Amino acid sequence: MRTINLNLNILCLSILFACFISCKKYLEKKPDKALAVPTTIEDCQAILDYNYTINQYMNNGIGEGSADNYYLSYADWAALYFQSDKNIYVWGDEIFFDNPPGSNDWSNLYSLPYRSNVVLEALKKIQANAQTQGSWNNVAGSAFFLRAWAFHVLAVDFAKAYDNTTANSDLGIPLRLNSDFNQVSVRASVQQSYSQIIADLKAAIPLLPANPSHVMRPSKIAAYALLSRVYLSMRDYVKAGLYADSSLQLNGSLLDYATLSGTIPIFNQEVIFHATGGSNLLYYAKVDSTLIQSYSSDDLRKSIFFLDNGNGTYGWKSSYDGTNYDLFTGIATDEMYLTRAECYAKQGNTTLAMQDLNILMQKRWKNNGTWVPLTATDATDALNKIRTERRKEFAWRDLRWMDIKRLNKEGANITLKRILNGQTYTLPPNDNRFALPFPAAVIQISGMPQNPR
Amino acid sequence: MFLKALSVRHSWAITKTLRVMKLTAIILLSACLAASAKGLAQKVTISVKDAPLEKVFDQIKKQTGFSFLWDEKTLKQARPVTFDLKEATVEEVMNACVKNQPLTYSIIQNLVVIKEKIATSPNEVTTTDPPPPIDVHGKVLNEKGEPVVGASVKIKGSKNGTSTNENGEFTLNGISADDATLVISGTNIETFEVKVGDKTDFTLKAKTKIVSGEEVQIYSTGYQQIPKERATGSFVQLDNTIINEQSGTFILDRLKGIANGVFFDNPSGNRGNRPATLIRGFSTIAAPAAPLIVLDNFPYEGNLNNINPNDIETITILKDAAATSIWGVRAGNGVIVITTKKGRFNQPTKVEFNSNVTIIQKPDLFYLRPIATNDLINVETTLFSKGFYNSQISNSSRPTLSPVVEILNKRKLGQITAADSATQIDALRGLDIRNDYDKYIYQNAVNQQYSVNLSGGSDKMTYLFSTGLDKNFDNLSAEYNRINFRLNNSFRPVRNLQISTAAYYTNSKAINGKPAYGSTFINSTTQRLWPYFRLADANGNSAPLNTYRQGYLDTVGRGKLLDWRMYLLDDWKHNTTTTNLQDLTATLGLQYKFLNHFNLNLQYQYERQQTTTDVLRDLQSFFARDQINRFSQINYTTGVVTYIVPKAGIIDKSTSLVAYHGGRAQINYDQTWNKHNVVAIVGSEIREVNTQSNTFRAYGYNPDLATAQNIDYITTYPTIITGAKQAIQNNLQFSDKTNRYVSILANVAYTFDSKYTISGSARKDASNLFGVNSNNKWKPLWSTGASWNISDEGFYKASFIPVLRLRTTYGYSGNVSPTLSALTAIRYFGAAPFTNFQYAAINQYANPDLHWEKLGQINIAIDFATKKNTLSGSAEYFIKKGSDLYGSSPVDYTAGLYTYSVIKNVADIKGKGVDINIESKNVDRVFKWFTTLNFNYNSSKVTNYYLTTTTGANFVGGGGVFSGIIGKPLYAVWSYQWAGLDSSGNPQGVLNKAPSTNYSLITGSGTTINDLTYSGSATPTVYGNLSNSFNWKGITLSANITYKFGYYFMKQSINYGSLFSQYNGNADFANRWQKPGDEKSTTIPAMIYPNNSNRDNFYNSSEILVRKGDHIRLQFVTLSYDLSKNNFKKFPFDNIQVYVNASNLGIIWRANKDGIDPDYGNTLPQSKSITFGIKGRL
Repeated sequence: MRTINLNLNILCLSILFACFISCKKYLEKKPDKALAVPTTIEDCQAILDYNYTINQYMNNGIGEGSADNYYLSYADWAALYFQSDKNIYVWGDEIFFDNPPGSNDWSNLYSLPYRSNVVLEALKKIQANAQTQGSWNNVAGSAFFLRAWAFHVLAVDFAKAYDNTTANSDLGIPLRLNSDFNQVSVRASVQQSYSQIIADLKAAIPLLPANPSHVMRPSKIAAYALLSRVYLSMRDYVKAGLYADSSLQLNGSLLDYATLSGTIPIFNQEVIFHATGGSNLLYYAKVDSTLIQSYSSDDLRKSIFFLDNGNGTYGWKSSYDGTNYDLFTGIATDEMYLTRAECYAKQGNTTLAMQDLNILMQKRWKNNGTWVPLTATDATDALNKIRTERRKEFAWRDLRWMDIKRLNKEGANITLKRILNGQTYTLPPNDNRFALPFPAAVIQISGMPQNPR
Repeated sequence: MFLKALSVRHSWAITKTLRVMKLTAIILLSACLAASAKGLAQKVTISVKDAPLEKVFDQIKKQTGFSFLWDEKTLKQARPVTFDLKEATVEEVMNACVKNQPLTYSIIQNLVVIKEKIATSPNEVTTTDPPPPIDVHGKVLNEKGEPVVGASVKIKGSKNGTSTNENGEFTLNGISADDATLVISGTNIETFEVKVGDKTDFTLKAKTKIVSGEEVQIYSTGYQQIPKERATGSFVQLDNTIINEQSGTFILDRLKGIANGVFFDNPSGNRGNRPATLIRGFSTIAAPAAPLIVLDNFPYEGNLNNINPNDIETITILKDAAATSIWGVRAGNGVIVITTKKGRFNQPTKVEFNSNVTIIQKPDLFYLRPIATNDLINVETTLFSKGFYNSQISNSSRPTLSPVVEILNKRKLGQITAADSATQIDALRGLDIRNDYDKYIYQNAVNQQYSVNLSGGSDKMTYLFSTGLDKNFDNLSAEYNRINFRLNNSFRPVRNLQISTAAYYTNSKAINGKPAYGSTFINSTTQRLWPYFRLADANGNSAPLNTYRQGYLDTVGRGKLLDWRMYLLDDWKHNTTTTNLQDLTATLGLQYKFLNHFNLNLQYQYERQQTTTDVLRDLQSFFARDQINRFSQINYTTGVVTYIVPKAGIIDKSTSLVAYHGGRAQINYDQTWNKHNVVAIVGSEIREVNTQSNTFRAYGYNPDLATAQNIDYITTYPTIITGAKQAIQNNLQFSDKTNRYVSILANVAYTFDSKYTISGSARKDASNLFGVNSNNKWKPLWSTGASWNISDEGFYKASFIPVLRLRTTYGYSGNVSPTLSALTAIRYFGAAPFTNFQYAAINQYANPDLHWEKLGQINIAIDFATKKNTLSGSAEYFIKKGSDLYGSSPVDYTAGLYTYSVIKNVADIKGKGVDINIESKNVDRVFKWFTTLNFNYNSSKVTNYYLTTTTGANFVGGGGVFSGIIGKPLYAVWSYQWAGLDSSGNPQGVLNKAPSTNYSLITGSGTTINDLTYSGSATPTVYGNLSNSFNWKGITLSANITYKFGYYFMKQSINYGSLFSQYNGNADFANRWQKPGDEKSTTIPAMIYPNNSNRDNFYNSSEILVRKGDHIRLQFVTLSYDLSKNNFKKFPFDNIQVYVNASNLGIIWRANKDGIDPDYGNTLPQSKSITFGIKGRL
């Protein structure tokens, strides 16, 4: 009888304390199966494979929206819901205030360095072995690529055009190189900004595979192509040409528009890195009349890209990724051909320049016998022809803003004009406003200097 | 053996063995008694005059079957007896027999043994051993036969004592003298004494103390039962009478306006981020703010709507730190302890039933103030002329245009004449879609409720069986049915062991109803349905709603497509959401008493709630037709349509499962000696909640055959309208979450002389919350308290207030948000579109500085009652100090977090308040008039907050968002200064002390906090209720009035941006500025085009729209008539009550002059309802 009594005492004591012995283990259970602390290469890869927040709608084309490929009627401009969108159109003071983080370009673009930094920090703690080295490299290379990718778009939109005479003093963009959100943002110089972009891409090249598993993932081709674009924006035509060539060595295929029925297919063979964005301005855009008139009637790009409104104006019809509402903001081989061509011309090699141009143009022409290869009298003529075709090829590809900025540095004298309800807004070459305004909320917290208006 | 053991009882060890064996013997004996007593009648009716005892014994034997044993010598000493007893027990008759006789008796089983009484005299030396120690068990009941809980039972002149448990029972072991006397005392009962004699089982009737007249109140904390007179903490108890004054399907609804210190904020549509239910104001900002709900000792993890209100015995609200600290980290927001009805030992079978029907009026749609149809048409006409709709008209995705815009466009294209256009438009001007909603959509709702329960108990077991049925049919024809079954049993197989089991089963089914007014949107999700749209044609058939432009629909697909229009009045029948919920909660409890004062309590609870939701869209539903059409591939040469999405229904099935295991081991200790009483518990608890859910979609679903078709989810297909390629959505989702908690806890209360009580409580919790550093997992929480029954002191002479008690407590509780993490965490989503790669989003960003919130609370209270309880109540004062509260701290979003702010431990808050409860018996005769007043004052303000921005725009508004301004309430109404309309009808703010229309500066960097107007708290600082009940001969009329004072809200007005783009206009439009001079009579800005959204933002957050929220509401009126045995002697039932209850009777006074109900703002107020019911007990 006593034993029963004692047993009961022991029982209750053991129930009291049994849980504490196994308590630690018990409490280590993951609270949510879908949650993980990124500790494996697969986790890191999965972060970078969230294509909705990596490839899509990260760059919604505020550069294109500020550029001259389109115009808005006053009625359409007045009907815009967001004041931010109205301001983008007239190069206003604040272009994000009714566009909260998560839906504005600044926040979207800076989420790429953040994700990349999280991945790079996690990878530091992951030891790769012979089997996993390839995956490790791919993830690390992708993170470097995506960080450079976002920094470059940001530098083109929010800093002055690169000018090697003033790059050390011109204000660039804040370079976020770790995931600590407590760190205060500081503006780097334009030189530091571009150096970081180049360093990231050069780090990415040896890590990335030559060909990607999917064009939504970065690859060596994409890294070369992006480096080419970066050097072009810096007007370093030698390096831009070399990297365009490196990229074309790996993939130089082109899509023959004459074989298309309707829209351009998504992920077509020209696409090197797929990225898209959506702009509210595009919805209502009318194509700049000079631009639309520059297309020959046998040029397939006119009918594939644009829609005749029937009243003398043209609207947007189809994007390079096959949708009717998105900008293609990625990189494709056509860009590499035109970049290499421009660099050849810039270096005086008219023949190779025109050869590259014609390789591309032939794939853009109607298959009706009207195709005649373009010719140039000299390198300058070649350069002009290439730059003309460049503008026609890259409507709604978010390259025009970069081009206007760099070409104005070379005396192209491109002045932008908007006319609304009788009022004219002008943006003269090399104006301060070519560096778009930082979000006021960011300026307020960080104390960074705002771009002068 | 028994005797042998007895003779050597000097050895301690053997004594102990003996006790255990004795216990066994008693258990066995009582078991036999229970078994054999059944055959014997217990009652004797006997009338004798000068009768010899033998004759009396003979009669008893005949009536009861009892046997008698005596020796002739003994009986010869006896005198004849005279008495007259009816329905007496054998004991009573025997007592009469031996009265004043040199005899005594004892009853062993059904044998009565007559013995000679041994005269005891101090001079006499007894040669026999002292009588063996015995164990005494008993039960203390009041006049009504209800157990007296917490009464002290002591042996006169010794230190030995105990107190009664929740069943009124007590056990005293090893009483050594059979002439011992028990002294029973308690705050609510008259002290009385009982001789033990050789009886071991007592049923003692206690007299309720008339002086105090207080009912015994026992607070249940979910861990223990605390008698009110020993409680130091702050409790509010609502018994089922109060709960049943209102009717309704769900339990929480019945707490509204009756529970002291509990505040229910506005309905979700009009509340912002503020928490819905608050006990004593705010305790947190960003952590979960809901009170912990405990059902029968365990946190309830299921849907609270599962509980049938008729199953509830009491609801106890734990308000201060002493009361809540025992519940640990989840209790920082207060605890609501719900206790269900149970059977009682030795209770005759009782049946209770309740049945009622509630009719709920249609809502009054005309309470809402949308823009007048005529005004809207004028706006559209103006906008059309300015080309506002051009882009929509030419949009390639063919968004539908309003009928007015279509007419204007036809006119513009010359398709109709100006006169036709005017006639067609004028025909629409007089329409108001609310009339159609009122006619075709809304109806009176009918809710039916039936419940019955059966309970009872013998001395070995109790039982309760209850069942309930609810059948609701709401204003929108949505159905809700609920069935409840509950079984509750307790067994006492042996004296010191009690086993309780309970099972609660709920099955509910909900089916969607018609679409509510304002829930249908045009073109994705923002445009409202046009107010001139007619829901039905002249014959009452549903009118088609174009979701793409009619002209386009006429040509697209060349007639090969399915009808691409929406039929609002019918679609709900084809787009059905059926939710089935099953919940089973099973509890097993074991209580074992040992070593006199200890009680081991083991409890285990398992709960499983499974919810399955089927969203079936059949082929007639718009959703299915839209999906099918969108992906239809038409070969225009052959006319063959290829359906990528099969031409059949679409079903979304989802299942969610909540599985809960809770285990608790607890030792209760309760000892009373001399004037001391100690009650303590120590325990540990382990809980796990597992939540799983999964969702999938099937296309080509045929509900009759339950078959579906295979679909290619990978390939993208061109959609017919724009040609853009899309993949078909698979809607696959899985989730599996587990939360685990381990806790240890202890609580001690010491009472001296029934006057002074001190209490202490401590608890440590640990959980598996994600990423929180393990050294932070354990959180100690503690509290301490004291109470003093002043009125029991000798010096206390204030006879007009016979009950006066002081209480005070102090303690710490905490809170933690399960969504916060010290590490970066990612969430996997499955296969990414296009690539099919596994993808993951960053779900939580590393926030390593996070720690738990701390909340300290001081409570000082006074309880009082005047003579005869004419006036009784309590007043409590509390101070709450929250430190290290989570708050959002603005972050530079360059960091890439997609947010303006991150959560950090940034805020300190301080709240203070007063809870007063007064019960008054104004008239207490045949006619009774009782009043209850609950008054709550509470204010909370921010005492420390790290603000990195002072831009005014971040703070203006109606107080739906936490503002974080030091010295001001957590949720406050801030607005822009208002300088009237200018001569062009533009609203003017103030910049640099001068009127200004620079809206981008006013709503931007030009306005700091210091430039804003502060109105006051956005939540009531004073609230409560006043309830009166009148009773006359069973007729009771009660009415409850609730009030909310001391707060502000912001009236909705016209926002031109929303009006233009979303057809979301406000009736204020009619009174807008239209011509110079209007600025003198109106404050509503002129319409401008193009619109300036900053101007809208300024006006809608300006001072001119702030209103006082104060109001008084008639919550309910109940009229009931009770028929009971007290009134009618021959009435077959204990009590039958018929009742009528009218609820939500509306506002009887409000401070604002705009006719706005501040609780609802621009959402529909709860409709009036009336309930007819009958309930009873037999």
